[in-house]
Amino acid sequence: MADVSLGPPDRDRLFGGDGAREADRAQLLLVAGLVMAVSLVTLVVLLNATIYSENVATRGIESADGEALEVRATAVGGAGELIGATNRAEPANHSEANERVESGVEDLDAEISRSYAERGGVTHLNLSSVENGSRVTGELGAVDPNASLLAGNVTRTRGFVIDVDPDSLNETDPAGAVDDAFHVDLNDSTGGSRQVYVYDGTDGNVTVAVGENGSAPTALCETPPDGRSRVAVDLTGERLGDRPCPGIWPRGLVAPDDDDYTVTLVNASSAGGEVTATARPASGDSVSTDLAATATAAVYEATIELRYRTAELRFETAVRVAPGEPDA
Amino acid sequence: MRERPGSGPIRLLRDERGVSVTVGYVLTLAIGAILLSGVVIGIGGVLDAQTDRAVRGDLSVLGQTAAANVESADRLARAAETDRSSANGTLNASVSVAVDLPDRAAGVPYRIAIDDDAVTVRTDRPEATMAIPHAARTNVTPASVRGGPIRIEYERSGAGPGNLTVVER
Repeated sequence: MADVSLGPPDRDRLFGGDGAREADRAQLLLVAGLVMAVSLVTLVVLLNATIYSENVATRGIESADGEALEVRATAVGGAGELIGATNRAEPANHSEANERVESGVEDLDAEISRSYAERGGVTHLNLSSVENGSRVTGELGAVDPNASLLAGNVTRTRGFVIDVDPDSLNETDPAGAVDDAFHVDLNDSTGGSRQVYVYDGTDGNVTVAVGENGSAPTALCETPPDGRSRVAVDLTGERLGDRPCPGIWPRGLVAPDDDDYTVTLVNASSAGGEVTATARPASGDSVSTDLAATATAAVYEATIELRYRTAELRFETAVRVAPGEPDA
Repeated sequence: MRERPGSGPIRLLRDERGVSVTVGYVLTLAIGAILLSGVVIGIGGVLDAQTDRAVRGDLSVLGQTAAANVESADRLARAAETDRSSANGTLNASVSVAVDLPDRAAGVPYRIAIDDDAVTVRTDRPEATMAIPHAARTNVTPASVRGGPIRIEYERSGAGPGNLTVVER
């Protein structure tokens, strides 16, 4: 068998002497190899940096605001439901209504704080102020058939819904609506009035028409009753049934405009159903109404202070909560 | 017969005529230097190109991160203004978004400039600029800050318009 083992170091080969020429031959190869190795390492490092940068570039950017908006929506929604439930419970007076809302906001604060603490956020909710008003409800058949004051000298109205019985509506057209149709008169103290007519548009559809200053109205929208016993005409929410009906509520009577106005139900005998509205008086706590027997003390709006903090974000605001108020 | 000393294969191996140790080393070093220079020049170009590419990539990411957070702050500011009570003594609308941006883009210091339309990030060496448009609807106070952690703030107490402001942290 051939001997392939390396022999012991030869002093002459390593340090010169007769065999020195043979040792020199590998130096060029070594230097070249070293240079190539360093070059390749450098290339690898640079390519790695580039790949890393591109990797970072393709990462999604997380939105920081989602949770804060969620907290706000939860707080506003919760406070709105609280105010609605308080008013529907028909408190004996405004003090009782305010106490219920204050206590409810404290409970809501505790619930929201606990919920978001688990996710690393700190929330704080407190009631800043309350505006009182009246919640007026009534059967259309029970009000004066000619004209009945629903709310006098009010600055704001919300949750103004008339659930009409489609079968009870007078059958007419826009030209005859002024005299024959049930309508709501919104009379602005600074001038001008708007009438919202609700009638059967001869085709069986519940029709809503709008007129200005007593002039002939223009039909705005209509919906088939589809066998329903009640169709909701939401004046402040600007909806008819389950469809939007923009243009019902006049722009001049929307917050922050604080003109006094009067809401009157006219030709109530031309329709059957129920009316509900919550209004804020221009002065005092209660609104004047011909439906005093069914009007109750109510909280019109509440201002809540909301604070939300995380390690990266701070969000603070004071929000006015008045559910069902017409949009500006 | 007696052979001449130093003849045959051994004589050829030991024959150093026309070759000196000095010339051998000089040749070796020269070839090595030329090879090394070629590699350095070649890799230098690659290095510059790759650095430029990496810087631009990082600037793009940083600009988009900053723009996304400006838009987040804008959404929060508008949410804080929606149905805000302006009664005396109530809480101001206040928003602050902290953004953890690195001090350097691919190892190079950079600056962030922001205005109503875009976030612009730039480096001087290599000279690179990336302008990322943002869709914030709230007014933005024009500002230029050193690259690194920043904070986007919004504060409004009265009836005047509120502004988004970018500051260094």
